[in-house]
Amino acid sequence: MTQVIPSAGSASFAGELAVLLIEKESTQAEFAEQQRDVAREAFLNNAQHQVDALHDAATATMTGALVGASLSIVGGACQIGAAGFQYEVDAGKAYGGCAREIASNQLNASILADLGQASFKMSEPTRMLVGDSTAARFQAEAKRHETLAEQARWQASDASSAIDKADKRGDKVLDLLQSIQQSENSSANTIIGRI
Amino acid sequence: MSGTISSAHVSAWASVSPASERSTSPMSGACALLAVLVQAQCSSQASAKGEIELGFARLDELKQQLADSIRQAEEAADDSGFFGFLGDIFGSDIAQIAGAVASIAATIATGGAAAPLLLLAISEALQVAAKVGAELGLDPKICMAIAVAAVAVGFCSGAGAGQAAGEVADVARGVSLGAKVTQGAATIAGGSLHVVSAHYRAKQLDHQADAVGHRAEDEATNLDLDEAFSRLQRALCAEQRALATASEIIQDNSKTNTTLSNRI
Repeated sequence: MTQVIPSAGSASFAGELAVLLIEKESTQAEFAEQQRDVAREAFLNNAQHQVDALHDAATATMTGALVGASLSIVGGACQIGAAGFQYEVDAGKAYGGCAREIASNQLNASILADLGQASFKMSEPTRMLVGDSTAARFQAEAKRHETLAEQARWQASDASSAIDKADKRGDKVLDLLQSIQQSENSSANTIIGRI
Repeated sequence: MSGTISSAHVSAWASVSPASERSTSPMSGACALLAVLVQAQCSSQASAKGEIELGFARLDELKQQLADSIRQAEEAADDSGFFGFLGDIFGSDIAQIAGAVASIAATIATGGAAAPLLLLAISEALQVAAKVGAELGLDPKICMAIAVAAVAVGFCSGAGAGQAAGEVADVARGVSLGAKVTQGAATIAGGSLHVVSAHYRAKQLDHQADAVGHRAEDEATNLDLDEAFSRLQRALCAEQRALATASEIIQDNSKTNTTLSNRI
């Protein structure tokens, strides 16, 4: 079943019917081919969206880690600063330094220590908020596109099966048509032989 | 089968053949049409074969790209794990140990007034011991006991007050400062190493995404290959059918001619 056979004026009723059946199968095969092409395009589009979403998830992971690590680094820097001021405070207390200066250093040490602690403790939740949750959202999107791509792939497979089936049905009709023609030819020959 | 198909094909053939050939008999016209059909199927076969060869070449290429992506993802995962491990050591373990040393030094610097800080240091040390012990395969019950002790000691700790004078106290203050600076530096190093680790982790995810893309292309190429195989199969079947039909037409006509000759 590779081509539509045009109806012939001399064809018998069975032949005409066979030609119509073949035309129908041919149309169905063409329709299935179009469906398969559409499904293939959908598969590729969804796969591309899946890949894009996975790349976005990777970017979000990187961004989250960058923000979290920045807070950790700020926290570490504040700790160092606080340690310096605290040393001044301790030395001042030990050797009877200026009370005002000690108080000022103590204040700076406290502020920096608190800032460092806050920054350090916020690093992990921020990383999760900015990075992990966003990445998880993109991963979910990627999963959705993966499912759609899989669905499209199955549709393409089904369309291929439909094309094969239409081909086989067309072949059967052609076989039938051939046998009818053989019978007619045989009859004609017999008639000629008896004349 | 010289009836419908042959006459149909003759009319189709006549529409495309030169005028001089229109006068040929239906038999030769049908056979010529079938020959054209066979030629068409041959070209269709050649096209399908070409597509199959291209498809296989594309599959090989995609396999190579997929393997590269997977290998690069594995390398990135190794790097990410290594730098993450270093980041954990600096940002967590070394920082905690430095914090504990700073607390002990502060206790010495205060001449015992900062005993609560010592308790805090012991608490930190016990926490580290519980963690490291678990990693080294120590009995979980012992690790749990150490961790509970760390919490208990931590509850007993508080803030230190006054400062002692003297050489030992000065050294202790210096050690405390150094330990705190080390703690901060370790935290910074840990953060930086975690950034590097995250960079490799992102690269790993990117390569994994590329691998997914290559797999999808592989699937699409397989679909195209299946389609090309189907076309090749159809072309072969059609060619066989056309040849069989031509042979039957010739047989039928020769039989008819023989019958007619016998009758004459």
